[in-house]
Amino acid sequence: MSLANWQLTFLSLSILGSNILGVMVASLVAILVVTKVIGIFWERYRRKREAFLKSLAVEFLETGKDEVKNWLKNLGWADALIFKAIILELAEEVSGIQQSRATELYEFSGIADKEIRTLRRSWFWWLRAEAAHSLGEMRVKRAKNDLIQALRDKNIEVRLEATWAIGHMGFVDTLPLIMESMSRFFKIAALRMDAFIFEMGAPALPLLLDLCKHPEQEIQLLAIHLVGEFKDPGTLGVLLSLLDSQDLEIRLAACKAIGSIGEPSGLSDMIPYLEDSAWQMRAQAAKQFGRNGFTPAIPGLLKCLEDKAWWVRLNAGEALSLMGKQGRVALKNALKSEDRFARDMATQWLAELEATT
Amino acid sequence: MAYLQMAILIYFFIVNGLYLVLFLFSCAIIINYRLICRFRGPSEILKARVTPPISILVPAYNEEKVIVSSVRALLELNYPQYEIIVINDGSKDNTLDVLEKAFSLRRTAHVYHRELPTATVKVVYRSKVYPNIWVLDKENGGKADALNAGVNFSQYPLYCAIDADSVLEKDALVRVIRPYMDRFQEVVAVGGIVRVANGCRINHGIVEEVGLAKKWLPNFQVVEYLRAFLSGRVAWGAWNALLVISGAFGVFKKQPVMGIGGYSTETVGEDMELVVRLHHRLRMQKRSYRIHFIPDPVCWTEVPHQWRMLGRQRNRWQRGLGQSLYRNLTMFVNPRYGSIGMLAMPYFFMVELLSPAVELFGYTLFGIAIYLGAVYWEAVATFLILAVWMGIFLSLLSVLLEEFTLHRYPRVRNLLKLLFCAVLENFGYRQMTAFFRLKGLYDFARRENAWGFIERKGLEVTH
Repeated sequence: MSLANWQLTFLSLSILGSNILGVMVASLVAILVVTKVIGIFWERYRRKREAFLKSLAVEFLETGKDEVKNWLKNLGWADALIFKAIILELAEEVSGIQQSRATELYEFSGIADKEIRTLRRSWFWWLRAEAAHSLGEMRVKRAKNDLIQALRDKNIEVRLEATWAIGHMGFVDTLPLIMESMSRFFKIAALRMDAFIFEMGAPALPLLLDLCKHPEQEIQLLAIHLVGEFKDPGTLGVLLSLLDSQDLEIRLAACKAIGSIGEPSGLSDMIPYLEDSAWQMRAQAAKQFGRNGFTPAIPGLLKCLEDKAWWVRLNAGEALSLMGKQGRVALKNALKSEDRFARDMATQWLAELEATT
Repeated sequence: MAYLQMAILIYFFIVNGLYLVLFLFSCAIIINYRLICRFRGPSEILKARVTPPISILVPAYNEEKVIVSSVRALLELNYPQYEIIVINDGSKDNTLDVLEKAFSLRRTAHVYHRELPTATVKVVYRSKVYPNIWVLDKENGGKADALNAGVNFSQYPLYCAIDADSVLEKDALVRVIRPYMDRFQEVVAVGGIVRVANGCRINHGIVEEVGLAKKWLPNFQVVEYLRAFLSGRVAWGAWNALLVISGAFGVFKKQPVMGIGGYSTETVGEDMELVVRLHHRLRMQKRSYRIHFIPDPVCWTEVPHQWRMLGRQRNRWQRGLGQSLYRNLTMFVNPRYGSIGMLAMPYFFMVELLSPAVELFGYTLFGIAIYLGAVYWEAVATFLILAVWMGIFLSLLSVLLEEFTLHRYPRVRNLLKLLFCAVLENFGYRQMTAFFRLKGLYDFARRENAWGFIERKGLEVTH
């Protein structure tokens, strides 16, 4: 290609590129302006309709009059969207008969059917998740099977919302299914499952105790964590038996759960684990004694101050510093220890006690 | 001459094509992230009793103007359990005194593991009023050394490294912890979007009103930060090929960092070097790991408001980039390192490291070619117009993405100003930063290692 030809190509390409980009830049600015204008108009419309629809919904929740319901027949898509937000907000605030009326309105306005369809068929995960949440919030019990199906959704958010919805409606029998679908996501699962379990209450506990012995470690871990959160001393037998599991993770989780329950009988049985062969176990046990201010563990904790593992010494020192006067005396005694590490740790925690009191 | 012109044109199209690809990926990721936030917002994470505790490390060297407000802001963070460790790195001003006075510090006999070698820590202080505030007074050893001392001292499994002049969002830790909540075992580091604080109203270390500065220079940097964070890092993070987590804000798992010997004290870009080295080691070990980037604004920082200071900063960044790439050269185009070796390293080398040289070389070449009559001036002018349009287009895309997803500049006036900056930055600002970076590249080649002092105005109530 000659120089002139090359430069002509170069020139034409640049002109073409510039024109395309110019149009695109103008389009971007136009998109921004149009969306801003639409936003302003939508906000105005929403405010106006919200006031009207909310007054109707509130009247129905208070009186239960059927004629009010007729106003809500055949809502257009915009009004249905606004009404859904209103009814979900109101449902959070009411209980008893008003709660049932809210569900009735939700069903009557056709939103429940639409949400079930969305949960089953929508391509978009956020719509499925939103539908699961709404159905749970409004306690649409006939959606149970769809919500159970949603526990196998490929998107974690949908599974989380379905879990919450099922818990909110109190379907205890679904617990094993839920644990299996959630256990891979331990921390998120734990945070969502806490809410779920407490919505279900005591009936969930026997099932959880069974799951503490599940063959899959992740399910076991989650179940142990949740049992601990229940703080029921009746579960100590199962948890104490898990302290001798072959799996260190399980033993640590059981130790934490016993600490969460904080029952003295359980804590007493945990004292020997301050001499466990695994340093993680010794450190965790020390931590739980400190958390509960469990003074009978002081002699064991004093030994731990001389432990070869730094974390064990640190946790033991901290535990003693949390045990009031007796702990302080123990730390002062440790200053006379022949072990340099124990003296260092005692010095540190005494200084911290002094600094914070 | 024609071949050189052709090479520059091809380079231009490849680089801008890459920018567009990165932007499109980022766009999808940010939208997905915003949708997830609708279901799992900070308030829900706060309710969890399983959030891992975090140690916040604040290295401070001559920061007497900002350190107290920074620490006060940290005390306001929404997070269940955290400690603040300020590392006074041998400051020559009154950094230690102002801290002592503001937080009633007293000496402690705290014992800790000194696993990473650092300059001597002389005294450890703890606040009488706020037991979660610690101050390490150490001999000067540089930022990396101070961070290593902080890592040694920290008690928790995760630590968050921030700059002393950074202002964190109240929910910063809750947001940044999300990837750890999803996959604690795999995630080793998480970064977030850093925003420009110049022009914002900041009171007691909290951003009360987001705004833009009166001067143009910081506002150009606002657009530049939007482009860098919203389109670049988001996509690299999604491909697990993120090479930089800003030193202004990043949360790391302590063990892997200890495992690679902590921050390197031999580079000026310790933040990037650490992340590249983490990738290097973890890929060598064939470990399944993730280095995440969350497309959420978590931190506000003061940017240079004078050309001279901007020049120093960009010079240092360029040298840091050069050093990080050079020290981990074995990863370059090495399939063993996956997306890092085959994508991120070549991109950072070709685009981030060399682009200022190519850009300024292009300007010079076209100038000479016009002078010698070897090129039509119309062709050069049209190409320059194309380059400017492309710059405007990419900047506008970032501003629009910010407006539609994060929406941190609610005032229409600010939005218009940003749009105007997106256009104006192409005439002078970009060329100047290219020049600063070229100087950085030259200094890197000369193995210049100075940090480059940047004067801070202080962020309290800036307008």
